[in-house]
Amino acid sequence: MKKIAFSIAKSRTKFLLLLFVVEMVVLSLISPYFFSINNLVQVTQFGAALTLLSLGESLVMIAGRDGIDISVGSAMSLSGVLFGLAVMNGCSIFTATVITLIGGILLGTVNGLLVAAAKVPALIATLGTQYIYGSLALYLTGGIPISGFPDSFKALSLESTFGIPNQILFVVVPVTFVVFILVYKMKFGRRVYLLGTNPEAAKYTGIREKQIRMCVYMLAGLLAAVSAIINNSWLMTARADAGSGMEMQAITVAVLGGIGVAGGVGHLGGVLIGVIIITMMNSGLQIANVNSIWQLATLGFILIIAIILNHMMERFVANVEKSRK
Amino acid sequence: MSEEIILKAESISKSFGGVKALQNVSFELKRGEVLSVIGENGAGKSTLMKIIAGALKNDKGEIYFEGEKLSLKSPLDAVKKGISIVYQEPNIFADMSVLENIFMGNEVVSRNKTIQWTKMYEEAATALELVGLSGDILHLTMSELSIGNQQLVLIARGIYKKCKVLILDEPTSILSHNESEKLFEIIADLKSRGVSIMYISHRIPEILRISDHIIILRDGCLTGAAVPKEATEESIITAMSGRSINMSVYEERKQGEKDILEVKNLSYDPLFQDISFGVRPGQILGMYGLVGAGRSEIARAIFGETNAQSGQVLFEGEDITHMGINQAIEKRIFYVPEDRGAQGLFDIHPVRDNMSVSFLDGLSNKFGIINKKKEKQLVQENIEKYSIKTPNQDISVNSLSGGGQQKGLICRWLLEKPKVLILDEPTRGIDVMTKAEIHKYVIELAKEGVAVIVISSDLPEVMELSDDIITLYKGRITARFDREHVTEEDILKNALNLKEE
Repeated sequence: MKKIAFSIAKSRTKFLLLLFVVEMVVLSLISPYFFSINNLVQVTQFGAALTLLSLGESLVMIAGRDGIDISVGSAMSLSGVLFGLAVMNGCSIFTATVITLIGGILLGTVNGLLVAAAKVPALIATLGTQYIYGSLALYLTGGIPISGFPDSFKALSLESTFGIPNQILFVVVPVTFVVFILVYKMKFGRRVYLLGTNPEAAKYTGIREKQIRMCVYMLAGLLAAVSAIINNSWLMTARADAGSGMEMQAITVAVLGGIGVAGGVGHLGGVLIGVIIITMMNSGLQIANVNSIWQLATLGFILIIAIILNHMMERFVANVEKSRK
Repeated sequence: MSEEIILKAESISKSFGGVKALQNVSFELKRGEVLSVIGENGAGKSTLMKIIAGALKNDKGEIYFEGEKLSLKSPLDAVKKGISIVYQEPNIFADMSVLENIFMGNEVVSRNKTIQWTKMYEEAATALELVGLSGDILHLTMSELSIGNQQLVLIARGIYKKCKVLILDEPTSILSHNESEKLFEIIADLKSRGVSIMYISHRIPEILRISDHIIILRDGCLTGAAVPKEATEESIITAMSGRSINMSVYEERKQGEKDILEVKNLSYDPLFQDISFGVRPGQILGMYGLVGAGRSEIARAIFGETNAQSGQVLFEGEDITHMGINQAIEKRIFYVPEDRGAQGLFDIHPVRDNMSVSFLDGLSNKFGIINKKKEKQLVQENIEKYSIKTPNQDISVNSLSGGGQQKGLICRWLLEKPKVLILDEPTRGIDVMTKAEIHKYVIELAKEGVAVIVISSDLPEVMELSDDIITLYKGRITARFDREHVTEEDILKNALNLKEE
């Protein structure tokens, strides 16, 4: 028993899987409809945008120096609006997509320049851009949602292939795959982790801090733009507040997934499970007819519990390892 | 000096991770005597003192103070009992006044917890008198004092209360000759007042001069005890270094004709000024100077971490003064920083990632995907070649011993052959075995034609390895010697700038 406990406590992924199983059991007990394959697959689409945002957020955090990006929500709103305006002004979906992706990268670049070049603390810099991007989105739409996308645009997020929502199958899965290659197979990812662990040491090994830090913020911006397009198709509107509050969810998921706030720690795999846990919970609460005003409170509750459990497990692991010696 | 034993330590042991810093160390300290603790860098002197001063906790063993078992919860606890310590690097609050520094954490307060400034002022003036300073300096900030006077203020802080045991951790390492003399007078004075002093140093002459008893530490073990009258420098050196391991590794070798790296009038105010030297392929150049003499700063200016304000760095005849770290690495100029924790290793990451980090470009294809098989193989070759003790490459680097970590740090740069290798304190805080191995590798590298610059504050190390030795004092080169014509005294005199005396 102790051995099993130790192995779970030591691996974040195992712990999250356990949490996931517990959650499934609880939700199934509350509602018999919850645990049907159809529902489970359908629920994933609620987590599509969050998955991409939290991957970007996690990378920024892993790269260290108290890295954080609280502008990803606003960046998502603004790029979504950009996409809507492009389509409304006669661009094809393809051209609008290209414009939006470039826009997202630019928004990330601004963050990157502020943090990496101007050395503004990440929290302050991205708080500033969060407000700026949010205002710009409101200004561009005048506060009125943009609708009237061509009907074909529904195919991206409102239709399924082989029973799997299209945005998951054709966007989230491939993009996640590419991000994982970038982070776990390429020197870029290795450098992000090492930089986050010890920026001073990284400097002496020739890791270009500015360059890497710029890249993670640009990537976070790009991923925000991708999630904006998915979201536009899902709602068939572009709203200036589409991403509001998403940055906090992304941070929550990242921390729940085991990404260390101090940098260099945590695996994106944990973040993915974190997204699934949060998404399932939200949908489970709806099915169970819990008033949606409690959604945020539950999120906060899970976050705090997860962190406390995490500390307890770390102490447990340390004790077991000490007694082994 | 009475025969009363004030402090007694019985088989003290302490380890940090896997490194045994102290093993079964016992000693006795009598009232009013000076007990010196001597040993090489990393021998465990400072650890032992920190345990006695309550800053660290021993794993095993007991300490008795005035006949009672001592168990300290904090340094403040020790101060209350009458044990004070003055650390090697003055830990001061530079922007606060001398008065505040003396009473830091120990302010005199009235019943309603307000600070009694007048009373503190009077007490502080008396304390300063004990160390020969005037009360007029109490209102100055610490940063306005010279390092020597800062040290004296810290001693005053240590003794102003009923201090029975005063621990001085290498106090003379940052003091000038005159300041040291003053300190010895103060020590004699304290002694006559019945204060016991534990004096840590690795300078043998001064220890022979001021101590009543000497204990010698080596690799965390007590290897000898002596009385100054009977001891000689040689007998102490033998006990300190225990040269059963062959530390003499020097070999004559072929050196290049022309300088591969040439530094001309390099300056960076206020760190270093007018630095000029050259080093040839196959040559080992030692740089000796005290902490703060600008050694590391010069090295970093060559490596491109900073760029000097004026002067030139020439590599193979090309001006590289304004290049960055990456270009230096491309040119095969490598720098191994002095602090392996803060500047060197990525502690929680595997040995492999730590060792391959600088050469990932060469290990990746054009898309940037790392060839993990090749990486593993290359790192494995290095682990075997330099016999780094690690069960495998996947284990995190912080689970290696200090020596293993240091070897890993140096060997990170040996994955590809360097042209110029700058080693900054390559053997600080590691065991003698590993130290000897690293020395051997340095000589081997030089034999292969690498120009090596060894920066060290370990004098025997510099003298053993170097073909040429440069001494630095306050950011200036004070002398350059060749191996054949140099004595320990020459180096020390120039590194301490005592030429005139």
